[in-house]
Amino acid sequence: MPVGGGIRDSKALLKRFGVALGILGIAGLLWTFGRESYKAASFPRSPDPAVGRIFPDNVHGIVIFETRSQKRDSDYIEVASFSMLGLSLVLSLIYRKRSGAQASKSGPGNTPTI
Amino acid sequence: MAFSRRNIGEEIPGKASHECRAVGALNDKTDFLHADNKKVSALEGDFGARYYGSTTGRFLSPDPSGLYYANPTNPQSLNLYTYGLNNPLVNTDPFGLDCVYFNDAGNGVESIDHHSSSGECGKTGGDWVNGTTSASQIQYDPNSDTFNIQSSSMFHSYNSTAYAPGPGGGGTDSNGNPISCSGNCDTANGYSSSFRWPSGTFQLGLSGNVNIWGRLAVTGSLGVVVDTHGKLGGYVSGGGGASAGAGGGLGVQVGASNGNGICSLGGPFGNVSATGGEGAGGTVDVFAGKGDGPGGVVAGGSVTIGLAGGASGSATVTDTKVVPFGGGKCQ
Repeated sequence: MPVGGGIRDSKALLKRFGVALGILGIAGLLWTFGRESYKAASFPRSPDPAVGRIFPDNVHGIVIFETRSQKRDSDYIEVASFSMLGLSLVLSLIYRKRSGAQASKSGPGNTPTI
Repeated sequence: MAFSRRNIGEEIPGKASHECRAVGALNDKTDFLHADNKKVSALEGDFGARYYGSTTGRFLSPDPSGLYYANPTNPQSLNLYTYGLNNPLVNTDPFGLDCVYFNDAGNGVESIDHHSSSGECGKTGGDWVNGTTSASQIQYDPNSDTFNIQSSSMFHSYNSTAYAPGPGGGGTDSNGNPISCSGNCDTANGYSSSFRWPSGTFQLGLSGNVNIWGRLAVTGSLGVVVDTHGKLGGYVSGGGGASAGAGGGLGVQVGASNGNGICSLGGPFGNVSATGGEGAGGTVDVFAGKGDGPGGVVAGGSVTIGLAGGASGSATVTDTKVVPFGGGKCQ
């Protein structure tokens, strides 16, 4: 296989992976947005120790109380979403750098966009 | 039940903000607070909520309120075996499980006086509610200036606006009795008073956005936020979404929202923004999310002036964290 084809393949893979991570990250943020809106409307605004809703969460100034597992799950998804989005951003920069390097070798007028 | 400001411990003006801890059912506070050493040392035994040992001069059991009233800026408040932050000449704690919390800004002061009356409450600047409650049933949220009384009502610390969720307002207190509403009531929105102080937040910081992979947008910002109650904090925000165009921008961001306080900005928002310019340029952004603003929505906008790399538009979801300056947190 020619070397140039291998580079293109790895770049394509990088892009697919980066786009997938970005979409997953955005999907996680969308889920968080919907979940927090639901919490603000439906969750109790004072602690309810009987069911374990004792962990406060601020939703745009509204303090609601949720269980440990609910808070943990929300935090995990939030962190995972930002991590994937951040990684996607880093990969896009790498992709751009590689594309720029390849374009400079190929000559002007061949600079791809990220 | 009364919530009054600076009515306990205010006889010593000029003191810094402080809080008092629970000690137990001390029936005669005068004996304890102003007696000579002999009389104080004679106070040994069970005070109801706690047991006092004269030999050590300390309570033998911790404050039953635990760290609920702990103030991170005052290490003494973490000591659960003392009375009144170890300063009984300044701090009083006459009813054991009650707490006095002073805030120089005047927007976070709270106290529970089980022996007040509506007349006295009014004279001392408090708010009067039918029924009774206890410290364990009340949680004060310094971020939104509200008192949560069980799950049926809240109390605004500013101007006696009681909030009662539910259809048509008309909430109940901790005893299930309807919250009294005199004068100009706004029962449609659940407030006992139709007047509320205008609220809002103002942000100043740095903001940037970039389009990646041709169709995705990544945004981020950080800065300071101040609200109309005078609270100041820092914020950091990030997010992503769909974009059109290949532009991006970075610059100084100025924004505002209708949130009740700085913590109203905490949480996820839906954003729509547009960036324009080549070299010098800017971004206009609007955002909204369910929250404590009018109509249950916190909404706002911002303008970023700085560098831009072409025209683009985006619809994103961002998540914002707010950290109040001077203590406290947005949960």
